[in-house]
Amino acid sequence: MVKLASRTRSRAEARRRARRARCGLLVLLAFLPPAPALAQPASVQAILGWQGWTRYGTWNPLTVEVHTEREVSGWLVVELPQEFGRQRVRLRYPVELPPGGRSTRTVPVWLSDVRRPVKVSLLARDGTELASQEVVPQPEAAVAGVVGYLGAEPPTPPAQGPGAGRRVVVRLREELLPEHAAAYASLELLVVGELDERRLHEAQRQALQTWVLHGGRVVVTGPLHGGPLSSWLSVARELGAGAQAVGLRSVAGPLRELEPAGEGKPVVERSRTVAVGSARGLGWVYVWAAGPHQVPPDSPLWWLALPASSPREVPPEPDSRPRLPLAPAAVGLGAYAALWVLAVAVAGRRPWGWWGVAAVVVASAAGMPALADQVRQRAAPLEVREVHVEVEGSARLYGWGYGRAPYAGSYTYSLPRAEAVSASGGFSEAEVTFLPEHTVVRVRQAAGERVSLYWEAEAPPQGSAVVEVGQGTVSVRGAEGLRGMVFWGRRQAPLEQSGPGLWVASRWSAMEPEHPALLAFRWTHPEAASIVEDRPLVALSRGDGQGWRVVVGKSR
Amino acid sequence: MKALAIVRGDLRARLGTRKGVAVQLAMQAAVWLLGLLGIGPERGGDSPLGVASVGLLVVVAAVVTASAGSEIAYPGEKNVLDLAASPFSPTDVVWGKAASNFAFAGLCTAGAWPVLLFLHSLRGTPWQDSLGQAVVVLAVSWGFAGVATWLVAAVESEVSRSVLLWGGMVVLLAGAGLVGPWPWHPAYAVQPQAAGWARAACSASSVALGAWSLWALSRRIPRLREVG
Repeated sequence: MVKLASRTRSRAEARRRARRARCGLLVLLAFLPPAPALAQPASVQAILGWQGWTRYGTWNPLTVEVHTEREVSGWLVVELPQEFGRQRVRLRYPVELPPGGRSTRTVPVWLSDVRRPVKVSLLARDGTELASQEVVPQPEAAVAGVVGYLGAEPPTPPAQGPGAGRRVVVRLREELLPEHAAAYASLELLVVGELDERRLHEAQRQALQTWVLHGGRVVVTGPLHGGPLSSWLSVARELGAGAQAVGLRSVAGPLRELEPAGEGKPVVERSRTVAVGSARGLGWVYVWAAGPHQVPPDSPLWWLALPASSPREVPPEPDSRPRLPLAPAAVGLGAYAALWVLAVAVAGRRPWGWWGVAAVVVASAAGMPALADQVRQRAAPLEVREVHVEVEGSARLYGWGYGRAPYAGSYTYSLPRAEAVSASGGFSEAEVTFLPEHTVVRVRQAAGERVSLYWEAEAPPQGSAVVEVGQGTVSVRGAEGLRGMVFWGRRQAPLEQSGPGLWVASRWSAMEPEHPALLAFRWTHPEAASIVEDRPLVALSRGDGQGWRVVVGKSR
Repeated sequence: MKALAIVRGDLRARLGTRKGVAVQLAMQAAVWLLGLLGIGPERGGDSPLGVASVGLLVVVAAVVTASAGSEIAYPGEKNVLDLAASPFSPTDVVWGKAASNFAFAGLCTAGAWPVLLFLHSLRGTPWQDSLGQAVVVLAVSWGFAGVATWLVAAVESEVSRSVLLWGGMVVLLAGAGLVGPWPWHPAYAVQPQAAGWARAACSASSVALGAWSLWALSRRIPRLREVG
């Protein structure tokens, strides 16, 4: 009995202690300051590619939505795995968000590995991670071709994409269209069944227009609700509801009656206008007289609208040799040697001079890493090839940079303000920081490794070069015609000065297909040979010999 | 305290005189040249940093050894023979020379170390590696300096002494390739990629060599006094 009573007492005592401990814990929790991460949450949500569909070896859109409860001034960081997973590329974009702020942005990312996750994180200025998300791409979601559409009715393009790979159709929303033209690179064709421009902001409108001007393709199959982009895309006028088309190969179902507008050219089948097409810069805009679902996969209209697939060449990698920046090293080490001898000479005569010797050693120990960094940067210059393409007032810059590391370590390369940068070659880590004025790439390389950088940027037109076609001549106004050449048809002619600010090409000869200017243009547009068939191409050599400025004239 | 007087006198002569400054200037010029040589790019497995490191070891060791062995006669410096004829005890002389050799070797190593640090920073290797190399340079220089100090007392003929000193240094440093890759040999231990134990073994053996030389010196000085 005594034992039982004692056991009961001890159990009650234990329960009392546990209750006290719980109460104490609750009081402690009530008085503890809330953890910042819990009190001020932030979230990141990312979608890779076109609704998850991606294309390997080109720019794909990465749509990131950031929401934060507190004010954030930091970085949006995208970590991209590289082939074999040994390398890492970090893209850093500055982010400024007010309390309760929400931002959606679409950035172009170059996908070279579709098996490992892409990590998107929001970092504070001090590097603290506020939120992150890993996007795991599926290898089966990497396809050969993507056709996007705006509207309700999905188009039915041929199922086989370039290289006999798979082609997918993806429904897009206006709000999530990329705001950088480079991000459209993975889109073969945009089918616009319905476009509400009020849901687009200026950057998106500009990006779409730039993409088309530089080779993008759009098919319009339905109503466009006003706005500058709609009128720019209107290459045909709708005259009426039209009639049922019978026996047409390209279209099945009723046809709208179209009339070409502006420079639009009709596509006629059995005396019916089934489409109207018009070149917009290097791209094409088609208006179809039928809905997208009425154009069967084997319709010739698809072969007209879809781009021809041609493998893209890149500039040959220069056989760059590291430089020996002797001057800064000689000056830095010489200054140290002089200071040392001076300090030692004083120390030999005055005992307090030993403080000077110590100061020289400490100061040089602190300064040598900075001197080494300066020498390292100068030893590995980036060999740049740039092609500046101007089409109807829209200019884009395509750049390739090659750097070879003479020593192991970090190298910093400064690029112009770019909208997309990709890194490949030999490195372990690359960090690309997109700043308002320029882009900084910091790469960690082993000795002897070569890194290749590729970037695309929207560029302001250099002057206002106007290409005019005359009787057997092509004239260029407003350009600084250094060493210029005009290519047109299968001919080429040098630019010769004919007056102040006026350059004329009239001495035509057979075109050299391997002319350096044409090769450079082919790096940006693989279909260069067919472009010069029907429009003049003015190529101006840059003064530094590192690239070309190409002005594309209007199509005949 | 008497040993400290010897150290003060030696350092004043080696640094405070015109000749001393000229020697420091020449050493820094050599170090500067080696620093420039070391910025060459790495090709295959050959790193100019290794060549520069051996060069720095040779330069520092040569200056320290030449100073200790009276190969460079600084005005006002008392060498071992002068001190043997002075009232200083043999122990004071030995400790004084050991300390002055150490101070001068440390000073010359400190003068060359920032260049090593620069070459390491250039290659992105940790700064601690340059300190490891500096320890080897210091120990080897001090060891050679000890031998040189002993030779001053042991060999009467200046020509024979010079031949012995420089011949020995050349054989020891340059003959490394002939006897095979001994990791603890100074020419290997000073390399940037040398293992820690190799550096420790090299430093310890150099210190032992220096200590043995100074012990031999302490036995030599009383004999010199007897003869004198």
